[in-house]
Amino acid sequence: MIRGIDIENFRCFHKTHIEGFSQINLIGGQNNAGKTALLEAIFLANSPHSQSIIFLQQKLRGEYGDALLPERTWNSLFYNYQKEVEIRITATADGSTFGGRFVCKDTYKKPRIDLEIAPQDIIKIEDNSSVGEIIQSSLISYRISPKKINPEPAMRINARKGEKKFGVDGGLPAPIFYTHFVPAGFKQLAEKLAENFERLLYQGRDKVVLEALQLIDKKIEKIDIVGKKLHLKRNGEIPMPIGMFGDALNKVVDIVIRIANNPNCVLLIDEIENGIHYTHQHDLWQKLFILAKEFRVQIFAVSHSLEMIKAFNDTSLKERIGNDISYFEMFRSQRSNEIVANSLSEDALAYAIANKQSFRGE
Amino acid sequence: MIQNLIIVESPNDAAFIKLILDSLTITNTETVPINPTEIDHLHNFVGTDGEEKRGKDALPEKIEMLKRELLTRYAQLQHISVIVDIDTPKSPNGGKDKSLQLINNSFERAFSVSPNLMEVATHATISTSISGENVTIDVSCFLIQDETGSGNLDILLKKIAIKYCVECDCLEVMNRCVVEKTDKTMLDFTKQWVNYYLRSNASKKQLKNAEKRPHEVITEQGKDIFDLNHSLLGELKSYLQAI
Repeated sequence: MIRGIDIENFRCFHKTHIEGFSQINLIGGQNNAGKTALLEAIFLANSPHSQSIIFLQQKLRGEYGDALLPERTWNSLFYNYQKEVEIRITATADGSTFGGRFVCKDTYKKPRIDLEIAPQDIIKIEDNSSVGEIIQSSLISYRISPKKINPEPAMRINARKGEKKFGVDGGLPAPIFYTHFVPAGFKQLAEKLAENFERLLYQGRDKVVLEALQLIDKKIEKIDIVGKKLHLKRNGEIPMPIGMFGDALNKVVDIVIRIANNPNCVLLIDEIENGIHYTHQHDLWQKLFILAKEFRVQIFAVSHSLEMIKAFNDTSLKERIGNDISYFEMFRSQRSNEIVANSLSEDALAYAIANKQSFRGE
Repeated sequence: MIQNLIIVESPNDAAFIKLILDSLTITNTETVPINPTEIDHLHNFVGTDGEEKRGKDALPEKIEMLKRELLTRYAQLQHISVIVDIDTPKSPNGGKDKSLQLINNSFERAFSVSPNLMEVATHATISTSISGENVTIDVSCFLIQDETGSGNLDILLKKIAIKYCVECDCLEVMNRCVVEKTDKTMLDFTKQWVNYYLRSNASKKQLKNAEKRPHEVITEQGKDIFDLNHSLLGELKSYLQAI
């Protein structure tokens, strides 16, 4: 289980240290406080390779780069666009440290050299390796391994001028913890849900999905796969594709299937409140607390929502599962100007909520 | 920028401490000026155990909330002062020893280091790390008490009240009657006494808002209805001047 993380020169983090993660972690804070970037950092610490970077840049941030300006491709990964400084993300779990380093290297078009030098010419030798047109910008990642002193072989993603697709050199190392990232507003395809649900059916774990769905809609009595798509059947109605039932059900099914299919994984959920009506939020947390414990899954969820944080606190007070729950508030420190994540105990959070005190980075 | 933060139990305590601070600033022109000070009070809430925590019982949570505020709104803060009632030793956090223990434990829970305050009005410096940032802060406390070494703000206010109040007189008569018949004082007698005293000195506007009335009367009429030069306030004034 991940207990802490150090993030340097990544996204909005200059230098941030966070410790005290639990099995279930809710992270609150204002916009641009670094909540999603923290999830990205956890993702990269577990899987510091090219596919992770491409997923974060393209699927999460919508940044596909500019084929004409490859040197700008990786800018936003670096704090203040300082791509000459390496990104370093290290996580701690049960006494071991792991993570990754990311370095940006630009390749310049070789300048033309005039070999005809007259004897009377003054020869001036200059380092001209950084002069001229950039034709390739590479992001090189090194794994910080808990076992090896020397870094594992680097992986390189190359953004080449005039090419829309990235080139990748190097193999794909196994992640420390398998990590699933559910981006804000993400809607899983009905076919993919059906495929993942089928895996649960074979393992006899499908019941957890129906129970979770009934938290949102008590009339749902059966889950079917029809034409390779997940269908839900409400009492007295014909089965309908899950896409007809709104975002909340898609999200809940997706999350529950991921947990039940992947014991011991890390689940990152951005803006967990999206689509979930406040009357169901308490029940959702209750279900997540139980499932996380049963399948030994560590959850990091992000929320802006007062109601979602209240429901989390209320559930943690009433449905305690030991000390395995933490709330973190992210904000920029007025003392150091660094982003910090401050943990609040259940009682302190209850105190803050009851008395309208600040607890979301205000 | 706020340099001193005083934490008190209730809005009434906050109004009274502000009154004393204002009187010190006005009357003691030769003394060192008091640093920019903010007064905040504790709030009631329902804790993990399902019980409502009131007054100084909520101090641990308030101090924990301060941890984040030392990095936000109180980034320049140099000193935290806790002023709470000493109460009676029979109550869970009452008496000098248990009150000091509550204050020390509250800081230790939030900052992982105890100021080890052994006496009131003494200062201690704690250095701690908050979310990876090193913070050093001065801590002190004062326990509100009367000449017997127990009590609370209401007892103090009753003793320094200077205006005649007919309702309070009648309440005294009623209390004597209750004592005669039950051998015990009326429940919340002093609290009721102060309530009637403040009510009898309230303006028409203040009478309309029962919740805000007590601390508004203390703030606006306090200097006319309480003896701010009373000897019982000596130690409190010395303490406030030194922070």
